[in-house]
Amino acid sequence: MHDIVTLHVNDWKQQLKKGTLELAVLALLKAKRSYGLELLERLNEMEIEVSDGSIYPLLSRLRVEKKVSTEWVDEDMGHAHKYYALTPHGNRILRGMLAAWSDYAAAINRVAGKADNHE
Amino acid sequence: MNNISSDEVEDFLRRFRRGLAALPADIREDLVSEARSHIQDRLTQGKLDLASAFGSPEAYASRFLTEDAFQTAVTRDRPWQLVSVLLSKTRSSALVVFAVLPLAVIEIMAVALIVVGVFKPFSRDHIGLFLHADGTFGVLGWISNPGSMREVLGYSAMPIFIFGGLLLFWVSNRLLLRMARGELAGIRHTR
Repeated sequence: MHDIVTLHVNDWKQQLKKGTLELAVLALLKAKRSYGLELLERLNEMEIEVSDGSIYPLLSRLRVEKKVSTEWVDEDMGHAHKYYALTPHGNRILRGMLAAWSDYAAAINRVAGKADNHE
Repeated sequence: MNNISSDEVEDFLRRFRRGLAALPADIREDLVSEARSHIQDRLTQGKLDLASAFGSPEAYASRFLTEDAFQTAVTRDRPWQLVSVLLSKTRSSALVVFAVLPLAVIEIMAVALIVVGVFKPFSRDHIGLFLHADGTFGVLGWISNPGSMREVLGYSAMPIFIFGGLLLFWVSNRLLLRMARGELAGIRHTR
């Protein structure tokens, strides 16, 4: 029984992560321009587990949608890195997403609070 | 721990590049260079596991292609491109058979209606709404030999066919566009 609950919760967490990964990536890029692996490691440090193969299709889409810009930088490390930076358009989208997230999280917390009170 | 030879890395990148063949050369090379840079970093860290990180190079390439195809079709809103992408890349075959194909056929019929409407002045007796002698429906559009049927719309068939065709085309195109957007959102949320 416990395994089924864990499985269900893990599946739900996966869905939640997929729906919010774009927000997390844009927020990290607002703080600092980064290349793919750097972003991946920062996300994983924050316990947002993302596989190596998942980050680049997302970044590619964000570039096509002009939410991020890219620049190859040779940092004297033997090879160059492709850096991603938030564009003004991406920043406007991020602000909207953060406001929506804040409202939604507050609503869910209110609902969760009611559930806690009936435990 | 790296258990991967440089030959395996090159083979992965070669197959990844081949998988991206449908993309413009500059974008393809950019993605391959980025994958190479990532792999070099992982090799330096001693944490390279190509199979678990990316899966097969073909499957990894298809993640860029499918999304790119839908994104391009939705953004550019070119009707034939939209139909082509939906027919070839929609994940549910039921959706293709029961929604995409019928809407594509409706789009073709709408174009035919517009063409017929434009040619009305040049083929007055063969284009229009034809009724049998008893008043029942015969043919809508073009007929080579009307026989005993009579055409009832006259020149008003021209605007009716043209605007009717345009409306039909617009509605079916909007529905296809909505389907493509739904499919795109689905692709993004299942990865």
